[in-house]
Amino acid sequence: MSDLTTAVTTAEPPPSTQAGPGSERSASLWADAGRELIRNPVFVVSSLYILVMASFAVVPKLWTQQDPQACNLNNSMLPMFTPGHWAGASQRGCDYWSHAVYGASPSLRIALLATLGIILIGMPLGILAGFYGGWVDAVISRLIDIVFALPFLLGALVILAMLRKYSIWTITLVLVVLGWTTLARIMRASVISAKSLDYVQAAKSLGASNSRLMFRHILPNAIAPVFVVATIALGGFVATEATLTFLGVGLQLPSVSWGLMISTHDDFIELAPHLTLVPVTLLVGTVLSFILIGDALRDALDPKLR
Amino acid sequence: MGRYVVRRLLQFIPTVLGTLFLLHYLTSVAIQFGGNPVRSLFGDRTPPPEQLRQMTEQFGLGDPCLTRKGDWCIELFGQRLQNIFLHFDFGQSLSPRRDVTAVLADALPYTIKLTLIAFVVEAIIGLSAGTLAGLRNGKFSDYVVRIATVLMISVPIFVSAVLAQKFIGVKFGNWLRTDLGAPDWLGRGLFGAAYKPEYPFISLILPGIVLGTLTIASTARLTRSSLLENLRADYVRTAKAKGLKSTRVVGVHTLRNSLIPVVTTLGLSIGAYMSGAVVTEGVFRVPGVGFTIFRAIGQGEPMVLLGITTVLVLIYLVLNLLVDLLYAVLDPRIRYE
Repeated sequence: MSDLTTAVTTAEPPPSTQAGPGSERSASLWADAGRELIRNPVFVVSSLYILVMASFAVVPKLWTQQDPQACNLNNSMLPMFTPGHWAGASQRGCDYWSHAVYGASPSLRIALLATLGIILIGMPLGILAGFYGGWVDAVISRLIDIVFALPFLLGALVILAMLRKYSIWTITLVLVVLGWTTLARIMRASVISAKSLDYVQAAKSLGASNSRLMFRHILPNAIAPVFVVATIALGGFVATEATLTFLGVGLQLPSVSWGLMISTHDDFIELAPHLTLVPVTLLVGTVLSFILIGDALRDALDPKLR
Repeated sequence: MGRYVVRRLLQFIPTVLGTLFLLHYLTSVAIQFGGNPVRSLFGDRTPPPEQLRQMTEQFGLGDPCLTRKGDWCIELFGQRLQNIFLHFDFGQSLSPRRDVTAVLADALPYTIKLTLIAFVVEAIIGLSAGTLAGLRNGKFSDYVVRIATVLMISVPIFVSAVLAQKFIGVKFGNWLRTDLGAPDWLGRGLFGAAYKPEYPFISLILPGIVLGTLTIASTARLTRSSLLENLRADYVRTAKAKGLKSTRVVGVHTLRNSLIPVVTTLGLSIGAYMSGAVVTEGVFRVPGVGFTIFRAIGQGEPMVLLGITTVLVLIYLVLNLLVDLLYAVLDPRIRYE
């Protein structure tokens, strides 16, 4: 399995290298898509938003000097625009802006790791099922059906509640175990439709080996939908992580995360609405941006729309 | 059709067994790595070993395989299957000490009512918004629907539930009652912050709408794209060429065919509703299945969760099977695949 996945990741570059800087009229799918995306204001704005959120997660010091764990109960639920705490302070008297900044990290890390996880599991299984068909496909498709039959959030709830160890890693693991099926299905369908194309048949008749067919010919042309699904999945995982936290089976206090910020302050919404609305805005903005990027990618990668 | 039904039923049995095994295996692994969940009932106290052993036994978690990391617990799985299919026994809840089946029998009516409201909301708003957007492709209303659906997809259900409860249920409801002197059923029932037993139906409407927003967007988008696809079809052009009124072309010819794929999302909706009900019922205190799950998590009683989830998964699978069969009835291409 491991050498397969490395092969998958190394197989990704070719389409983009074809569109090198030297070629004047490069007409590769990815170059065209890239050119179209740059001109798409929705894509640009969403990407910038995600970049800002990513910098929240990676270099929080850039955005705030305060320590999110340095709390003073005298400051409990300060209103917005208080000097020194422009986003107010939490119920426990911690600076709320620093919470908002540091809270990006767990959400985005879980989303990124879980998305990488579903790609690592879903993509090879989807390729194998689509390429070989027959009993391989039958076995993998049954497996997909079985995992898919567990309602995603409900399954995650039960397993995490049984495990009672709530960390970034356990949450990610559960999300991956239950969440890879959609990606595998998309990959399988995409490989099946690419497999029957003429150039693949031509390569086959020239005696190309199965692995060459899979990774050099089929994969580069079948991978576009996977990128779209993976981008949207990033947003979905951010939302799921926050939901699990809200239900009490995600990260626990004193961790700092958007989900926790909402679940600890939603009862005070009348007194201090900003304590709920600040994390809600950041959270919804992130999910929305990922979905919009995914939509823009889908449009850009579909040559039929041009 | 008969052959399709038989084939589908034959596929159904291994899927049910497989899914139950997956649920069993994942929770067993979780117990193996997380330790005995019964212990969490005692909080910080160390329970007397005899009492702990007895309670663990009672919850069906006494099997020694649950202490061996990575064990498949096949025997325990067989036992559980026997309990489920022969004795209809899904375990016990602790407080109050009852069978899970009895707990569910009490809770299920609320959840069914809630889900039906959500479903009606989804169907009415989702279908009409999707049809509108499909017919006015590229026009203003199309953009409105597309933007609204993207926004709806990106708001997690717990956020919409909390915001609806606090702003519509509490603030708007209070304003109605105190400032306008609205009748009790309107101010506390329809726009209430929580489920009220004295208004068993009206106070379920707001949570039902919140639950419905979970799937409105996907229904609207699917209706739109499938309508767009069908409007280009030859038979629509023929109908137009024959001089039929456009309401008939759209309403009778196109829409009927466009709604077939929408039926499949019903199956997916059911799964989304089951998860979404945990959040909505938890927030609005509707005493349904979702609230039972919500409370079980809060009280550290995960053993009930397994029983309830098993029942829900079985319901989900059966409903999905029915939706698949319905799909085959509606679309002949499926059954002759």
